[in-house]
Amino acid sequence: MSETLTNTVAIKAEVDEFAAQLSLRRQAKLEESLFAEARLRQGVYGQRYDNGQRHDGRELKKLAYPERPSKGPNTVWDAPGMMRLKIPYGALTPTQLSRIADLADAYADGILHITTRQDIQLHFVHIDDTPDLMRRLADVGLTTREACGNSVRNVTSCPRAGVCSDELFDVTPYARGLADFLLGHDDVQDFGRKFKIAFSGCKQNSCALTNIHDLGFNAQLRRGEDGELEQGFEVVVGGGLGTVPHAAKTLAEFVPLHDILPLTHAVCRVFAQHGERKNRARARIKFLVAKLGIDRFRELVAEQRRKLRDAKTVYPSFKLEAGRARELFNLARQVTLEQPKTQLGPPARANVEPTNASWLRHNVAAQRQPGFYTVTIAAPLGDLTVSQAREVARLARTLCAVDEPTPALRLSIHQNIIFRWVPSDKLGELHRGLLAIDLADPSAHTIADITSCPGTDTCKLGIASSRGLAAELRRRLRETLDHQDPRVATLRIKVSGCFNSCGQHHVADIGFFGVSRKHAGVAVPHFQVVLGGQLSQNGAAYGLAVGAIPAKHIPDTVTLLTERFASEAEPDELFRQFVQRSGKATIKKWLAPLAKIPDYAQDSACYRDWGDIREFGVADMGVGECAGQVVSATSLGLARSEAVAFDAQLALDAGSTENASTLAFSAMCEAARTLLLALDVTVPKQDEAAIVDAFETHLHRSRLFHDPFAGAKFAHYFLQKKPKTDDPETARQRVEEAQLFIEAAHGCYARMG
Amino acid sequence: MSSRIAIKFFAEARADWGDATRQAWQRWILDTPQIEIDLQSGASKSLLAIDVADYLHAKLGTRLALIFFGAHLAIDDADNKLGLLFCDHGRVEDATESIDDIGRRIEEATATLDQLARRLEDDLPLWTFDRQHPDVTLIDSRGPARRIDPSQSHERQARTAS
Repeated sequence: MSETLTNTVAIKAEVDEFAAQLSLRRQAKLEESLFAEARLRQGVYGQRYDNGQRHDGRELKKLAYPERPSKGPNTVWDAPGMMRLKIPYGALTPTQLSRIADLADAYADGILHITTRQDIQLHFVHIDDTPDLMRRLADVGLTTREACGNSVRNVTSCPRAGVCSDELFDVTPYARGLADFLLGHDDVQDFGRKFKIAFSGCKQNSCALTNIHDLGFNAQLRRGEDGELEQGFEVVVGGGLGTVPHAAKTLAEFVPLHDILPLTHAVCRVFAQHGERKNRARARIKFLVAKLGIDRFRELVAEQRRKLRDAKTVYPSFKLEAGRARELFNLARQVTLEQPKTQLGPPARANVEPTNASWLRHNVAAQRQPGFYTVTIAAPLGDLTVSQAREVARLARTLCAVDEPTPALRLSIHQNIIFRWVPSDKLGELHRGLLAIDLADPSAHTIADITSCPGTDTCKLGIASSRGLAAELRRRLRETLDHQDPRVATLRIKVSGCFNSCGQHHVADIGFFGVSRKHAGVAVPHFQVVLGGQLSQNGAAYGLAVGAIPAKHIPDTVTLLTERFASEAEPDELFRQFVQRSGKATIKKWLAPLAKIPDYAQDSACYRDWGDIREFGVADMGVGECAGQVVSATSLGLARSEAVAFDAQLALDAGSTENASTLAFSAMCEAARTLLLALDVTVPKQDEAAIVDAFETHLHRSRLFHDPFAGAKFAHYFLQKKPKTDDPETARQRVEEAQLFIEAAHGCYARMG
Repeated sequence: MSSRIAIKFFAEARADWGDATRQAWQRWILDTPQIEIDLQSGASKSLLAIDVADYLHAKLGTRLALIFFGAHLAIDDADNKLGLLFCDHGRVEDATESIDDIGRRIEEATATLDQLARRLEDDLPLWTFDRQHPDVTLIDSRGPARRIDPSQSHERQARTAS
């Protein structure tokens, strides 16, 4: 077996190796590409800066601000960067959290950032400090190993696993066992892309989102041949958000506990052997599953399992043996490895001020162990200061009824922290403690508890400021939360800075992702509004974009949508049902006034992103253009293509899948022809084959259309000329591809100047 | 084992310091990202400002940070005490550093913070920093930051720290 996460000796030996690689890179004896892969596998990530200049290794060079991103994307290799700390299933002891706070104080800017995959990121860490940081982390049983890069990322699970009333059983030992097994395993070192795994204790909730993962495990029970209930997992594969989301497919209805490791091992080998390598944009396992079909994929997995059996591969046992689990399960459903240090009598009255009822309602939940509660801290944008983190650790140490090494804390995929095993008579003290450090905001799991990726703040791929928008929305929604319609209060908002979905916008009630648009020749930051996603049932449905709105109009967009929902929804109607019933054409009409870009002279703030004093894409700026009223033919053509893509979406909603896929292709043709016209290449409108050929010649081969970061990815959506389909899932992907192709066309037009 | 120095000047400011300060620092990066600092020894050093990190939504610690290559300047309200904090990330191995060297680093960091504070006060009159009672901390790999008594001489501070 591979070394376990707590094997600090092995981890430290690897850190020494990384320190040697760093030293070689500094001496220019190691190629940048090799070093980059090495550092990514150790969780050391590059960041973007807004200095408008970069060091090319010899001297400082001024950069003209690029036309699209608002920050300089290029940085010198040893610039301060991000460090991702892998926190398996988000579980932290107070000692571990205190240590991370010390590291943020010593090596970063004093902030701990919780990610959407239960990791913690530290920013602005100097690369020379990274080996020290890793060693100090290893001392408390944590690692950054394989936190980034083409590897098995952090294994995530429900943060209330083991204490939740809805779960079938505690998935913690299995998440831990699999994370330990895969870390550093020889067979997971040669993937074409990253690989994400999640565990859920139930099928109905939204705590783990297994359906958006490469490999997902949903707790299951079945009656065995001996008549006794047996624990196991439904296993799903090939889910994922990214640019075009894919719903996970069922790989196995029921996998007994002892089969988890061999099955995952086989899946990893199939991915390593058959996954795409050359085209990074299609290298995730979701594309392999889609290409092979789930039946063929299953055959390949079965074949690998046979080979592993023939090779007499030995797998470690889980701490909670299957037999023991079964035995315990029959005694009582409440099986967990965690036990409180004190058993409680009847639940005591929670000693919390009555004025804090909303904190009790939103942030506190009863555990299935009577008398104990979980308490959620709604960390604003997932951020904690060093002082706050130290105090959270102290409160957990003194108030939670579990001793280390049992983790009293867990991070959630909604970027929050959860205290576990809080006795009812300690709730008041915990509330006062959190109030003192400004972390008692009663907004957990509400519309004000917004998820956001880093966006243009630190991510090189960001297009618009997701954190800036999330901060503004949070501020406004907090002010109105106490008086909000209860159905609106429980909606969830998620924001991504670009189409890559790190903010998980597809599964939110209201999602946003950053794009850019031009108005009178000037770039304007926008967000696409994504409606119709479903967080429950582990992320069961993905929303689709209904239109791009200027970034500065997004708060009004949220107000409009929520007010409409509060006043027009039928009793018990969910938001996604309301969206469906209202129809996207109607919603688009509601949003039309907000989609309008004001002229620069009328509202120059609209040309700046949230939290940025600079005009978005200042290279595009010109006095004459700013004042201009003229809409270019290209803008009109791209607007036409968006209208066709929207018709495709309406056809999809109406169940006309084949028509939807046809319209999606027509939309791409319209956008491609528009760009060709801008290049003075005329092609007949009806001749789709000629448009594709001309696009390939003038925009694809010339690389003019290629995205600075995603390359030819969006061009391939068009060039592949996929056949018509009547499969709803495939048609939805086509519509999504058409929308992204049009976004890429906007980007290309912006680059044309 | 390595160590770094952090110096903080406490401050009084109007409640609306957030956006104004962020914008001021963004302008620094646009206008003069290379900031020259005069040291008491007559020498000078250069800081390259590369980013502004916005944590105005957080509390009790870093609220805004101007990131330099190898250092950062932050509006910090740890312990509910608002101030301007300069943290030199220059990595110094303890084993190779003398007590005098630590003293010099404290002096240098103080001079740097003083000049950065003056520039911020000049740009934004809403800030006034107290230079008489700085908070001096030594951050090393032994654990949490350790505060040094600012009433002691630099030499004694260094001896205490080491």
